[in-house]
Amino acid sequence: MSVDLRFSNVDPPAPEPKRSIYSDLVNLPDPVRLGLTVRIFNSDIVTLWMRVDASLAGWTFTTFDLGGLGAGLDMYRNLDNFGSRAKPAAALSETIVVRLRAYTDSGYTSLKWTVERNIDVVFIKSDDGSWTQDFLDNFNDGTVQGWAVTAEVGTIQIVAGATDYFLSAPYALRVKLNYLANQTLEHRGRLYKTFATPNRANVFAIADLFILEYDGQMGGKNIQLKHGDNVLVFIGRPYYADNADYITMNKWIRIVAPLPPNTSVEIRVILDIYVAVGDRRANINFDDFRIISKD
Amino acid sequence: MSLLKKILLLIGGGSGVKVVVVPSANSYFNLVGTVDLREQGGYFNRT
Repeated sequence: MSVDLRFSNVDPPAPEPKRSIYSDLVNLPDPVRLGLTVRIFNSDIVTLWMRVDASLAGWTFTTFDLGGLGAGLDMYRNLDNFGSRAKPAAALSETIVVRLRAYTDSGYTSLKWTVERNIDVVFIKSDDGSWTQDFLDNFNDGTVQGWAVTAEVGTIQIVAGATDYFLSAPYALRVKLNYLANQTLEHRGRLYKTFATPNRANVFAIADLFILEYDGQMGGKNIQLKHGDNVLVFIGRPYYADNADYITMNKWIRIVAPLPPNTSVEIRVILDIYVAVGDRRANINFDDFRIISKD
Repeated sequence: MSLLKKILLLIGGGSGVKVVVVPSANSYFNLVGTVDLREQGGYFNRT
């Protein structure tokens, strides 16, 4: 195979383990809208132009023309609103066939490679009676509820009681990157808290967050959900110093990932941005974080 | 209950969807639409 399509940060030549897309149906809009970060590898000896689409009955998918990728290179692309479907009424598992086609011309006419990968979409319905809600941090008491921040690069601040964007009234938690508002280049901040996960077969973290970007002349690079140093979900691309956004900004998104049972996990939410002009900032508003489980 | 149905229930763990836990893909769902957040019911703007 001379091109490859991946849904995680597992590097070739290691085979990528099977991956699933999870979400909880509770409070999702109708229709549901899926975003997906893909990583594409060109192992050919010529530049190839990459096109990604997908198919599954009942879904509508966008075709993304991702541009040219040089020989031997790889790229990340966040495909916002990649697919949508009517909101399921109950828990549901489906399989999407994601297709990567590689062309030798910028007009996408001379097809050279086609790769298809199946990926399961697992819709959980956390209020269907089968799940236990083990933790809920809704920040409605106006405190940080045990969450803390550390700056991996640049400056970061945590603020309780955010009232501009929240999911459950009256408050969300807010994290400010470049809160000193005088430093350019990279700011990468970590929001974190330790939880003891229940000893059950299925344990999931449900993280709802809103990345707020102040003006232009900055760019959102990636948002990550981790436990400890383990990357659960990586949205966007590795840090790069330009003003382009590689993550979805200024709307609430839901990231859901399985957690190991019966252990202590430090949940981390990481945001990585580039700042071209000192007074530009980005915030994470964070609300209704949950851990749910069932046998 | 037919033998076939009993077998299917055993395989499926009863009613509903059996969650087979594998690592998560780099994915998310939009919690609200893209047109007018306030009309989508996803959050309440107090300002």
